[in-house]
Amino acid sequence: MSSRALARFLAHRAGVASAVILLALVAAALSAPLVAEAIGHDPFAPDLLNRFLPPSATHPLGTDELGRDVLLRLLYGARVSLAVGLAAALASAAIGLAIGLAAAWFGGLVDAVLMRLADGLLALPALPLLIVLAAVDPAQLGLPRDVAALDLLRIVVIIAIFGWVKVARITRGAALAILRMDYVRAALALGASAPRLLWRHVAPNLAAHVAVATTLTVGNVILVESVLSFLGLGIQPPTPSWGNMLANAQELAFAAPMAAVWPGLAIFVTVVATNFAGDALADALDPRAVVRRG
Amino acid sequence: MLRLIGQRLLQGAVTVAILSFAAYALIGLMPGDPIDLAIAGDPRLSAEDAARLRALHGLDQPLTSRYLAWASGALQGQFGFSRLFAAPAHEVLGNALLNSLALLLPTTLLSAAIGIALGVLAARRPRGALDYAVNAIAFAGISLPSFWLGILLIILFAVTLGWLPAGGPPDTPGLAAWLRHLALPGATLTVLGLASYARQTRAAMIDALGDLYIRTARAKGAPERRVLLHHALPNAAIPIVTIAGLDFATLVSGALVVETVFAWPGMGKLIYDAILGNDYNLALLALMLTAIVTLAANLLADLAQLAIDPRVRQ
Repeated sequence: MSSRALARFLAHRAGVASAVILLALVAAALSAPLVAEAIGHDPFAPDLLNRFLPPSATHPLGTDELGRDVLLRLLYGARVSLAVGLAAALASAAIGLAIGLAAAWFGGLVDAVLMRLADGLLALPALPLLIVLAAVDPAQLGLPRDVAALDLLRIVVIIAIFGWVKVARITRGAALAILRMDYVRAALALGASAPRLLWRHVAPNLAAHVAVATTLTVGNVILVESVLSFLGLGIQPPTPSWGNMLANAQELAFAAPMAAVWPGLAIFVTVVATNFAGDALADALDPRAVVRRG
Repeated sequence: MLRLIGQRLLQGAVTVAILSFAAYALIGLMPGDPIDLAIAGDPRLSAEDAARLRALHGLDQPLTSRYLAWASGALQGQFGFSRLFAAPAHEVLGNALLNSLALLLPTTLLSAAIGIALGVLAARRPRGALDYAVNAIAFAGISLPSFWLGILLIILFAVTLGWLPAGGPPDTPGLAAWLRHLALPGATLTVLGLASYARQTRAAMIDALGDLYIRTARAKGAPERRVLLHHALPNAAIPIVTIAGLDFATLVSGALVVETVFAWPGMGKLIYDAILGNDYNLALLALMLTAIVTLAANLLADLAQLAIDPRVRQ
C-alpha cells in the first residue's frame, strides 16, 4: 500500500477501528493456550458436574452444556473460524484470479465456457447445494473420517467451490481493460512471454480489486461456516468453532441464554469489522475516491 | 430480444441438466443408501434379502443408468415417492410451498418497502444522522448470522417475555394463531432482508441525485418529494429490481436457515430434511424446482431492467 493509500485508509475511522478489532481478535486467538494456562482449565475436557455455571472469577463467561469454559472455547473457536475464513477467502481468490486471467487472456471459447460456468454458479441457490456438498461422506471418496485437519480442509474446499465467482468476474473485467493498454502492447512488442506479461504487468494492477473482494469474502465465509456448523454439517466437534458452539444454541436459549449469545456476538463483530475494513480498503485503493471522514 | 431470451433459456436448461446429475451423484455419496437404512431398521433382513431389495429398486445398477431412469421419469412428470413422508414427492412439496409462501410473501414485501424507504431517506442527506443510522442497520443486517438473530428473538420474546411462541406451525386454526406463529420468523427475515434493499437503494439514490437532471428538476422548482420519487427513484431502480428478482426466487426455495430455527414446515426446511434424510426423490425434486425458479427469476429481473431502462437495450 502506498503512503497516500495508507493516509486514505487512516482517514476512514470506521475502517481503522475495524482493522484494530481484527488484529486484536487474531492476537486473542493466538494467545488462547496462554489464557488456558493462566486460568487453568482444559477447553476440551467435559466437566459434567460444572455445567452451565454463571460467570465467575475462574470462569469469566461461565461454562457450557458440557461444563467447559466458554471464554476458552471462544478463543480456540476464534482460531478455527478465523483460519477457515482466511483460508477459504484466499483459496477463492486464487481460483478466481486464475480463472479470470485465463478467460481474459485466451478469450473466445475458453472465456465463454468459464463465464457461463460462473453465471450458472451465481444463479443457483447456494445454500441447498452447500448442504449437499457438506453432507457428502468423505469415506465414500476414500478419505479417512474424523481427522480434524481434513475436516477444516473439507469446509475450505466446499466454500471455495462457490466462492471464486466474484473474484473471477472482477479479474476478467479488469484484466481485459489492462490488456488493451499501451504499456501492455509495448511489453508484447518487446517480446515479453505470456506468463511474464500476466505476472509483471497485469497482476499488480489487479491487486487492489482482488484485495478488496478478498477482504469482503472473509466475513462472508465466516457466516457460511457458522450456518453450516449450526446445521451440523460444518466443523465437527470436539474442535470448537464459533459456528458449532451455536449448534445447540436453540436448546441453550432456554437453559443458558448467554451461552447462545457470546459466539454469535463474536461472529457478528468479526463480520462487521471485515465489511468495514473492506469498504475502507476499497476507498483507500481507489485513486479517484475522495477522502472522507467517517 | 427474442434471441436473448432463447439463449438464456437454453443456457438455463443446460445448467439444470448438469446440476441434476451433480446433485444425483453427490446424494449418492452421502452415508447409507435406503437399503442400509432398511437393514438398520429391521435386523431380521439377511444379506440375500438386501441384495434382492437392491436389485428390485435398481440400486445395483451403475450410477449413470440410475440417473437416466430418474431423469426420464422426472421429464414425464413422475417424481417418485418421498421416503420420509411416505407420499408422492410432488404432494409433499405442494404443502411446503404453501407454508413458505405464507411466511415469505408478506416478509418480502415488508422488507422491500421498509428497505427502499430507508434507502431513499438516507440518500436525502448523505452523512447526516439518519444516513448513519440506516448505514448501521444495513451493515448489521448483512453481518448477522441469520440463525443467531432468530435465536436472540426467541430468547427475548419467547423465553424471557413469553409473549410469542418459539416456533412451529400453529396448532389451532384462525388468523390470530397464524400471525402469532409467523411473528418471530417474519421479523427475522424482514430485518435481514431490508438490509440489502436499504444499502442498494441508498447507493443508487446518492448516485442519481448527483446527476444534472436532478439540478434541472430543482431549478424548475419541483418540490423535493417529487424530485426524489419521480426523478431520482426511477433512475435508481435497476439494482433494486435485481434484488427483488432474487427475493422472488426465495418465495419458492424457502428460507432454509430461518425455517429450520423456527421449525416452520416450508420449502427450506423440507430441502434440508430431505437431503439429510437421504430422501433422494424429494431432495432432487426440491433442488431442481428451486434451481429452475432461481434461474427464471434472474431472467425476469434482467428483462425487467430492459423494460425500465432504455439505456440497457443498446
